[in-house]
Amino acid sequence: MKQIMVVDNHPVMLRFMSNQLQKNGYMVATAADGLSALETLKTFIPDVVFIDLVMPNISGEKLCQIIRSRPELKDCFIVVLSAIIAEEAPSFETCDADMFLAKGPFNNLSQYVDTTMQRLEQGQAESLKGTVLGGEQLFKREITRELLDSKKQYEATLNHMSEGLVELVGQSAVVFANPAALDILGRPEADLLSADFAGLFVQADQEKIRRHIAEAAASGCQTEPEDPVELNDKRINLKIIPVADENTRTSVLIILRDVTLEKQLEAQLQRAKKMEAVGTLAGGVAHDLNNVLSAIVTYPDLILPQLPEDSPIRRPVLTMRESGNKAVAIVQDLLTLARRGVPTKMIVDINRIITEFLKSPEYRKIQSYHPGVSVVTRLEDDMPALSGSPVHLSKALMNLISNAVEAIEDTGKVEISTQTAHLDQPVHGYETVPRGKYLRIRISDTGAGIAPPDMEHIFEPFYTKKKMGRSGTGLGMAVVWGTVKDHDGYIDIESTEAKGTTVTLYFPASRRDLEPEKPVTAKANVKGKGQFVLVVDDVREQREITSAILSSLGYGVDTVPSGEAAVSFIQEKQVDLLILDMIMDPGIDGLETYERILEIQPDQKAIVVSGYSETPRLRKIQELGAVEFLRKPYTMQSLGETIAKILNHSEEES
Amino acid sequence: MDINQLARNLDMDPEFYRELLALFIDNSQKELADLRESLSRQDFTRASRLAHSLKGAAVNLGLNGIAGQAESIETAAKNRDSITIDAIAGQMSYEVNELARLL
Repeated sequence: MKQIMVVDNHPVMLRFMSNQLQKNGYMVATAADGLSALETLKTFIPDVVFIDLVMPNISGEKLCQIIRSRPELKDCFIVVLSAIIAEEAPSFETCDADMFLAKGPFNNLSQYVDTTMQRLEQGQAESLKGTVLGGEQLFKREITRELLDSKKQYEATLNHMSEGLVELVGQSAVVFANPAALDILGRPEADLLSADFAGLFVQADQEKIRRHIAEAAASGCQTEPEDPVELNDKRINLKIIPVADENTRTSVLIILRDVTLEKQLEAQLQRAKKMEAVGTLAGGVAHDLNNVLSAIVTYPDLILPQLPEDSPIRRPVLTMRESGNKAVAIVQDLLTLARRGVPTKMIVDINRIITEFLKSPEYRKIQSYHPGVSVVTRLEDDMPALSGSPVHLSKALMNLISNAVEAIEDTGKVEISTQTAHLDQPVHGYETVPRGKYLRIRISDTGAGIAPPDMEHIFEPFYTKKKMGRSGTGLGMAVVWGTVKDHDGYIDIESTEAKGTTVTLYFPASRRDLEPEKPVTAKANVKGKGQFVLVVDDVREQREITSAILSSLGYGVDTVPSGEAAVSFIQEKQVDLLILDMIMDPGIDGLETYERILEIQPDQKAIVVSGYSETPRLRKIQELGAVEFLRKPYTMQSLGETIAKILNHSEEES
Repeated sequence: MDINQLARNLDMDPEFYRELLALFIDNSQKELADLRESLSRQDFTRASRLAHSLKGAAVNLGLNGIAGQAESIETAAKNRDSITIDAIAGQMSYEVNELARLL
């Protein structure tokens, strides 16, 4: 037993202790606080340490803990000196000391120190362990207990706050870190205390942190650097607060806030906004494109029947029609994206959409390209109903299922599952899904996966990785995004390259029950029987196309270029059917035209045509009378079917 | 107040006791100045800690009068009673200066 260290913040105590120990031939090192003690301990290995319990910077308890954690100090005998022993029984659980020594008048203290040292010299360390010396003769008081209470209150606050709090002295050395700070910084306390704070971060941030701390300390004003710093994949916000401590020396408090999640949410919001903007733009373009396309799609239908089977232009015209139809598909997707048409609120059975798609010709075509892909479905019975637009939802699911199948090059598996999910906790994925009851649809494949840089963009229109010409409009995922958003749903997507992708959709569960399926109407004969049709459209080409189709289908046709003209026409002459464009410019629109015509012919049948499937005015017109809706651009087949439906339907009724 | 008597009470060498007393006086004057400063900022937590430190050293040196005053300051700090603290700190200052004069 040769080397002793004394750590106490009071100079009187330090002087007394070194005198007392040196007198007996010991080599004594002193330190006025925990931090300088740690500095000394780098070179000085004491046999016994006397530590004051209440100190600025690092407390006695902390210092014990650090000493215990250092292998080179494992034989060190720790004596904690404390006046607090008089107020509160020392606890060997919270303080890892070998023994406690109560502070008191120096005559008593010198005896205790001597006794302790003698017994240690005699190899009686074991008998001293866990003892408290001098507790009985102390100055009695009550207030220190209150001081302790207030200390406990602060401790409780610091221990339970979610922000990390770190105290630095000399602008660099950590002397205090609360549990949240340890958590955020990912280090045990013993590592952190006395460590250089800026040095904990990546090289690139260190300089910045040091500069901010120096600025705060010099100005005395708190600073909060705008950009978060990075540590172990976390993004951390720092708030630097200079404070004058007990010895009027400036120390620095740093509040650490983990903003990783916050930043993620910001990025998510940014992405969602971008998608909205692109969607709106795309929709605007699509609206104009839709009218232009009518001619390309419908003229081939009119030309082809007039061409001989061996005509050399037959093939080009067929190609033209095919290309036109592809363009229509793209435009339809764009219109879906634009979401001018608010989706219908119908009760939708998700399971049925999936099973029907898997039976469809489109699906069989995809499957023929990918014979090695097995598709498994796990659909939960008694799924809650989903309220929304069946057309959009099936389109979205079809896109996802096709993508999953097409992601697999040779052999693999696609799994489609539906489930009712009760989320007790928000799911933080591609988007953040709040708590609640959801219909969860999960489509996972064992395909190529999505590269991380692509992940950011996959929902953007025309961001496609598929081979040209195989399938898709480049809008599939954008439609999925738009549809899910229209239904107040959320998307999560996880993907590992070469392992596969899982897309999960969450839709809020609706309380309404599923309605029984309506019987599908049998395919009607599309040929007319000479009935008379009036076409009302402001676009000349459209009038020409429609009238050509109608004539070739065997209907009598007349056309007018405006709603007003239609009203005058009806006043003169009765027709079996009106084909009414919804949006006409200038003049009255489809709704108003129909309302006026109903005043003349209360049972006038009509087909309204429009590029949008859902608008409030369109809904209204469909409530007025015998009205069918036909989406533009239409083909000979679709127009013929719709006409047959409305004319035959009312014949059955009458 | 007799310094030699105080040293004898603690079975201490008078010279060494004087040395410690000088340290105590020096440190206490700083702490009392800090105490006033913390009062001006209404920082009662710090005032209480300073009084606690003063009290501990006074007890060590057998200065029971000063220890008692320090204790009263601690109580007053708990009650956020700056008038009492100010009054007692004045008395303490006087006592500490008195010790300095005796040295």
